Amino acid sequence: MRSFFAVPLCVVLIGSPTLGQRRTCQGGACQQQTPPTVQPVAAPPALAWFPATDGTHLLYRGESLVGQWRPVDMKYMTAVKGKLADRGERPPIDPPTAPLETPTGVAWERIEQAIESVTRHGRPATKEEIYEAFALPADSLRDDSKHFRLTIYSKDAAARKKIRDEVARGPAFEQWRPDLLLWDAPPDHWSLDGLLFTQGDEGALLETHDGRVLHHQPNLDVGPLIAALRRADPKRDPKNDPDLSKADPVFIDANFAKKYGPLLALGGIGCVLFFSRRGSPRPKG
Amino acid sequence: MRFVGLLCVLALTSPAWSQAKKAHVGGPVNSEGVEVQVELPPKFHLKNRGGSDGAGLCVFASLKHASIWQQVEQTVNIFEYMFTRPGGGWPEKVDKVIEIMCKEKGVPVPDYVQYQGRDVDFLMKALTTGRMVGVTYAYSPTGRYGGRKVAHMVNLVHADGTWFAILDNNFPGTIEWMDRAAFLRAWTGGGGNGWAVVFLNPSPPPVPRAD
Repeated sequence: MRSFFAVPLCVVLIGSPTLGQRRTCQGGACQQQTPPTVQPVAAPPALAWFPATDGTHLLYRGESLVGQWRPVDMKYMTAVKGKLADRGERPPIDPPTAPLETPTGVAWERIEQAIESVTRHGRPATKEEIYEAFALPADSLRDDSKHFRLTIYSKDAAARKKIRDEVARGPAFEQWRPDLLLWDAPPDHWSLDGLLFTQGDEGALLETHDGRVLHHQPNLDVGPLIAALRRADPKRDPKNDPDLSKADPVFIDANFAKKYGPLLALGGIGCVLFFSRRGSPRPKG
Repeated sequence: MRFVGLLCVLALTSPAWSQAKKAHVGGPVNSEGVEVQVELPPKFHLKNRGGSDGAGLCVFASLKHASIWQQVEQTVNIFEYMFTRPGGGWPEKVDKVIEIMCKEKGVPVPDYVQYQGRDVDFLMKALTTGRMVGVTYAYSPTGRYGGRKVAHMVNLVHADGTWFAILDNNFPGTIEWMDRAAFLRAWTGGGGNGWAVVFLNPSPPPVPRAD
């Protein structure tokens, strides 16, 4: 009776995935499944000394400053929250015994010495192409007056991105795209620091390359910006300026009289005849 | 005739003619009142250090300076990125590092130029349009590095044909001013080619003029 239950129990236990290791057999060849491996924990970066320009040595662990060694008075300063303080501690590793070399880091021997070479993100380029990219004509050092500087400032990064995309791809800016240098930043960004035009949370400033203000608006509406660019464009022909103050385009059309004159004349004659007949006394009888 | 000769001698020995622009260390305005074309606030000046093998990261410190100045978001942390990688820099390595770094971040490679040659006008054009240029630097005209030849990269922050100025990542907070000849020697190491790296992003907007 005991063996009656014992045999199937053993079969169940041996076949169970929790006991022993399962084997998969494909094509007659059995392969043992590899047990799960434990991921090794990354070792912390090693401590290393680097020379400072004041003759001291700085101790770093990876990107973090750990301390400073002062050879003059053989004192170790501990870095606490980025500040160095004398806490009477010893450096965790031996300080350098000789002055360390000031770090530089250019491999002179790998710089092309025989010929002049220009590349643009790794591909050969010409100087003229680069001058064009500098937004500067190749034949002149200073004549970049055709370029406008458009500065967009807003705390809302998404709003800035919208304008950036509009300037980069939108049809409204197509005409001026080659001549427009765009800069965008939040109003408290260092690059706008101290400039009077950064009052308010957002706005747009259009300048010439040398800082002459052409337009300034306290919002990011594209319409007024385009209008300002149109007015400032040296290639602009005033005759082609649209007059948006007149609402109905029919009355702006200079050819209106030519197109519709005969029709109007016929209509006028028709009206006169119609009313003159209605107004005349009918014969009695 | 004797009078003309005397005049020539006087003219040639006059301080205005004979005195070259004296190299000096100062701030963003030099001894003649000339202001740097590119003025990165001192709070962003970096102190150079070594990479994982101890070799210096001056190339990547210079690229970070320019990235901050021109808002090149893709490479603004390139200096820190190199802390755990071998130091030292040359043109092909810069291409490789920028490419790999951008790939890892899933961002497009920024538009940048590398130049190897001796054409100072090339650098002047970049500075005229407000760009901050990373340039090789072999000699300090003011005697830094004990006057020895070094294999270094710094940022060119002024180049108007008369005055040139550099921001050295081993001496943050200061600007080293020099004349054209001293700069050419520093940039090219005396006789060969110099190396320059320029991002093409525009510079910050100009300060609005009063008129």
